[in-house]
Amino acid sequence: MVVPVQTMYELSKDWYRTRMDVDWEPPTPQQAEETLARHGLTGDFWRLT
Amino acid sequence: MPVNSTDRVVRARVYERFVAGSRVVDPSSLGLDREETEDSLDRLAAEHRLVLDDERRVVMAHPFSGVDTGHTATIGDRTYWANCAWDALALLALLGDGVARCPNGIEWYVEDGVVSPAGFIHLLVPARHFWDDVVFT
Repeated sequence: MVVPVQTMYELSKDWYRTRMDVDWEPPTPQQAEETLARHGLTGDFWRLT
Repeated sequence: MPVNSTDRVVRARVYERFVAGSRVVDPSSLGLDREETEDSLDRLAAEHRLVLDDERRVVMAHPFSGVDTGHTATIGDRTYWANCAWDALALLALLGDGVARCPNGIEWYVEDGVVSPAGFIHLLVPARHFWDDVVFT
């Protein structure tokens, strides 16, 4: 899968936004899919559920 | 094996150490009780919240890497190790504008949130298999 670097950068801001917080919890597969979808990353390659 | 409040503090300390520029983050560097820290690190690794080597040094606390993969993010005068091209960009997304470098010589500059030059990242592993072999991923 080939993804534009700007998209990966924007996804990273979203994906890692709370990662360093003490109370961080991993996203559920559903939540992670929603994050990916916000950046146009949908389809079988990105499926987590 | 659920994580507890000590595990959360240990995880936060791991990230603090990496942000501060440490490359080797191990139980003795976290400033907490050694045995308790080791137990916490084991639980965090079991829960995929970080990756350890055999001596409980932190190999991965995404997007930080504890080993030199050739992927880096440089912000000001500080260079961080990243796990892959995505994580090098992610370090800039987390910590600020700078340069992401790949071992093949590619460089991406981020200024005011804009990445240049335009390019692509090639992902080999489908998302649902990221953790099957996270080092390969």
